[in-house]
Amino acid sequence: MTKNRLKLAASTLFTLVLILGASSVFAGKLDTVKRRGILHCGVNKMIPGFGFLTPSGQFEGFDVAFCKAIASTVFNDPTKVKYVPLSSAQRFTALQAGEIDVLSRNTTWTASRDGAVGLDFTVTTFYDGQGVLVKKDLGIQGISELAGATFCTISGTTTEKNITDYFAKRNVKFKLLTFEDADGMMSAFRANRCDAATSDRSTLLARQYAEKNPSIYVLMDQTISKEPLGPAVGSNDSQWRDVVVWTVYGMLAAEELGVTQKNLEAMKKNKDPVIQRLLGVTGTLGKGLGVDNHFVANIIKNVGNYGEVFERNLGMKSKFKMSRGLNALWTDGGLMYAPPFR
Amino acid sequence: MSSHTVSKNMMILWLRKNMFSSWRSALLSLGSLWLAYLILVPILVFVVHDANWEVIVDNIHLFAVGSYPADQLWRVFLNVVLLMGLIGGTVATQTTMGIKSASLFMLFTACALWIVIGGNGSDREGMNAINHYFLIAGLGLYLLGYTTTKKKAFSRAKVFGIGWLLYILLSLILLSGFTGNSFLPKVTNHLWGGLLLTLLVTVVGIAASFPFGIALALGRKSELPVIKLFCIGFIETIRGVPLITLLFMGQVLIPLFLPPALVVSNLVRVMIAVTLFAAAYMAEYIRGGLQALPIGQNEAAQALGLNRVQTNFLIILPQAIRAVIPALVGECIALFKDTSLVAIVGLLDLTGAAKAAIGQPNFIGLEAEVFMTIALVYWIFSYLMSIYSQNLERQLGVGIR
Amino acid sequence: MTNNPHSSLHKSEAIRIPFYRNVKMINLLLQLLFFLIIGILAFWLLRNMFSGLAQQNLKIQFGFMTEEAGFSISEGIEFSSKNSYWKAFQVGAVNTLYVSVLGILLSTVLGTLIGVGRLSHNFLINTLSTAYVEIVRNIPLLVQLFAWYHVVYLALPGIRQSIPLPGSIHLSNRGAFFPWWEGTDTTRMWFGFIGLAILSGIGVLTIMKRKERRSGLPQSKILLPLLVFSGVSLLSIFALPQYPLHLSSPRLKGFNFQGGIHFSPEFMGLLTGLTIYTAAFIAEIVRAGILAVHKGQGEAAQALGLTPLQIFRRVVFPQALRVIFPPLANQYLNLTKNSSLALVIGFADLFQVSQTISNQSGNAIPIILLIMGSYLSLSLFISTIINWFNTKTEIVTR
Repeated sequence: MTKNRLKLAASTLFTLVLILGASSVFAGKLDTVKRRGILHCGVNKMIPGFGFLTPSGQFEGFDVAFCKAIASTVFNDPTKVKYVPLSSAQRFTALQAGEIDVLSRNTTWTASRDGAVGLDFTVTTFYDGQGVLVKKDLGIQGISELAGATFCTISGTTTEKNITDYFAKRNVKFKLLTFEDADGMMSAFRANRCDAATSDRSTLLARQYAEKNPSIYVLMDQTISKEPLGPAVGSNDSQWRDVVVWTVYGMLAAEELGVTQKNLEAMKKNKDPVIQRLLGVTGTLGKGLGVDNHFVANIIKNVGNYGEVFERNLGMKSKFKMSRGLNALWTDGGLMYAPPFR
Repeated sequence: MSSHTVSKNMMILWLRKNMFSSWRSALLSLGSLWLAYLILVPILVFVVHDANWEVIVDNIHLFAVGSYPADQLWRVFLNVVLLMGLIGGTVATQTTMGIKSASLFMLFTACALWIVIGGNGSDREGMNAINHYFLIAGLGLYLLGYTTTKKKAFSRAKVFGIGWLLYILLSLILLSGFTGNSFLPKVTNHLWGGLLLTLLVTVVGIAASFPFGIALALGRKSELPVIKLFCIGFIETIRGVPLITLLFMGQVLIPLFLPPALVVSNLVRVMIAVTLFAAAYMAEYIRGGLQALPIGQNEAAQALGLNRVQTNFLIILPQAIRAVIPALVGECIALFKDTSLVAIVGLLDLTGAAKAAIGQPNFIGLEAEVFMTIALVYWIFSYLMSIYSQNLERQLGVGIR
Repeated sequence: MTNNPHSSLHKSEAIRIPFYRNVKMINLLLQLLFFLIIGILAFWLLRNMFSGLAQQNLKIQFGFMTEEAGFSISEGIEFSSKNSYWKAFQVGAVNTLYVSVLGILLSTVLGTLIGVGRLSHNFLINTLSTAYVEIVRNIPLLVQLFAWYHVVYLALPGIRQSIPLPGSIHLSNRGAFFPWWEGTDTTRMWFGFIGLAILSGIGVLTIMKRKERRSGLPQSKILLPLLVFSGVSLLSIFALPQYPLHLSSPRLKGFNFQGGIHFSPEFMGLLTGLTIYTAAFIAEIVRAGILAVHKGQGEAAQALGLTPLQIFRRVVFPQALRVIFPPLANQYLNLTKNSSLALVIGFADLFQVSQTISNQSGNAIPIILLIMGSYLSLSLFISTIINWFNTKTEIVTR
């Protein structure tokens, strides 16, 4: 029966190892990501322009560009990203569970999400509002004319609640159908299962242009809510949050100072001390954040500044031809404003 | 002339006997003819005339392997070739399967696997010829596997225990590769997709759940109350909830249960959930086999002086499992179909690829084409497995009592 | 030690057996070890979880369920966004039960037809039934659900071009609209009369049963009580000052049909998918059950001069049912669990609503526990019925 004793000894050892393993100390996200060598980024795969899958299976879009930018900050390599496509319903648990390091998936910044849901928002990368998409032949002018209509939307979103509030305030009945993702919403709307689709204006516009015949739809001018979208990270990790925050601000500051992918090398020799600090030629701004001192230069080289990313994915260089609107720099009358790099 | 009338008369006789034997039968025949017409004609018209199959042709890469890098596709092809050889060997263990049905099986399998091999040629120049070599090599290996297994009379246990297990390990290594290796560069598993991923989740799920299921079944029959209670609780809990709940639990709970430093990928979490699910069902089938065994087997083994472990593994289990093999194959088919649910938790398996293809701007509104295609692919594989299962049933004589 | 039949003979020796050769002791130790391993593993996993949750200030509690939901649900029992998450959960649960019960009924009917069809001597019926089973059960339910919803129900014409069917039924991709009865002021009174009708039906039944026992002649126990019941309940309608029910037909008003009863395409897609899929499995069970009845049974009944219908009803069916019922109940359980796939076509079932709650409130773990609890109690309920049936129909051996 020595076998049994051996077994006992082995299992005791096993449990000891387990207990020891459990007492490993909590490491910050930045260290975890650096050690892992790859960034886990939660994205959308169904919103053309923001996050979508190309036929060859690559992730592209405005939100995806920020994943690449963060990877540039940490590794100086935009390809070191593992994209985790998430539905609206999955995205928060993925962040809570630590499956992803950052959520860059058209997520609205709200108080309850920042508080109770256990995430921390970083910076608004896109100022949006909830809109309503209808078919032109319906001849509708305003949202209030849609009393009694059926709306399609995506489940687990702020839009689901906003539209409910909108009609509850006016004491009007309506019907809301919720789908798992934008594809489900759009195919039901296309088939006239619902009279209107409601979501963030950006999503609706992107989806409208992805239709076979975009001109039969019209995105109504009214907005029924504020939807500031931006990357979010897990709660209570200020170092990691700083990395994401300053990655975005770096891209904004670069645009403001006129640093582009094209003129980056020339700009590095620019005498302006502000530009020199931004690009890490002088100062220790990057080191203070725990990343490469040249991190902004790396972002610009790999991804481009905010304006370039916007134009490429959503603006005049894309098929969506979105104007900057609220997303213009503060110097152009928009809301985009980066704190000083100092 | 006369033979013509004879055959015509035969046909009328056959018709009268099989379709119009009474007025009620005639009515039923006409009714079902009408029903078949109603269903089949629109489908045929659609398939031949209305459908736009471009969505399938353009996305064949996505359907077959997901985002697997194009320049590394030979690894997938090689995998498929090996699989063909193994299937050949597996078919050869079927003594009830004649040469004719074996070759038919080969033809079907080849057609199914062509989707992975041949189909990919369309979007890469230069790969076309190579693809055909892979296909020929696959057919060759099928024959080789078939004949060697037949000649050497390998037992089913050998083919399954050694062949399939070795294959699973080899294919996982081949597909994932190593970091920094130039010959087999690392392809992280979030790039795997399509039919490849569907088959992979199925095969790994079956292989991992089988031993686990045996342990659970034995535990449930155990006379030790703690172990017995635990196994009953585990089996009944898992069987009582839908698979989708387990998949979501895998998504949310597994990362929470593990320390932050230990990150398991989405694919692994899905595999864990699928394995736990399948194991509970397998355990119940195996328990059925255990219960069917006469108690004398146990007593005889004890009388021979075998200990508990020896009794279970040498006497009881082989007989119990043999009795429920068809049910276990049925569970494998169910598992194969159930893998489609992994699309809901964000994997790009065959169903996930279909959803992605429908979302592409160029192919919006082509749901019918896409779902028809993947339904056909799923059907071919399930049907092949069910033919195999029916053959097994015949060979083992389980169905005939 | 009592296991050992020789213990009483060699008591002095038995005491000297070291503890690690004592079967009882080994068993105890094994269990203890198992318990320890599982316990430590569970402790380790839970510890990780709680430290992870504490890191993000999250707690596991159910208090949030009483908060205001704030979202709307497309169908089901009355619900407004002001109601609590609990109420939303209930709406989902009722929807799941609703679709499951209907699915069970329909798939049993369809499955039995197809199963009998597979045994038919008619070539066409036989072939079609076989083709149905082989095609349907080899394609994943998820794919079938997608196809039913997107390819069939959403492809129906829009609401303004809805297809009118006889009996003022309207079919469009907004769903099927049927005329339905609506209650009036006298409905409650009528329900009282129906109670009376049921009582008198039962009364007639008892009288006939007593008569049968006394005379020994078999009486038809269905027709007369039913006649009495329907007679009383129908006649009472005319006794009331106003008709107790009024038939309301659906009419297009604004964006939608008003009046009548409405089945949404999501509901119909789910119901069709579940019914078609489960019927294929039920057909196989029914076929196996009928085949399991020994051929001699039918022949013996024939020799006794029973008609084919009598043979089926009195001889084959009761025996087949004993074989059919356990796997059939398992299929019912599967159907109920499979209804959770409603998520992918937007039907507000238990699982879909729970997902929404989990998302809007950020409490994933309590919701997972709730979902598991709900499905487990459903399973427990159905397996209790199976066990009850099994004991009830067991062949009594003498």
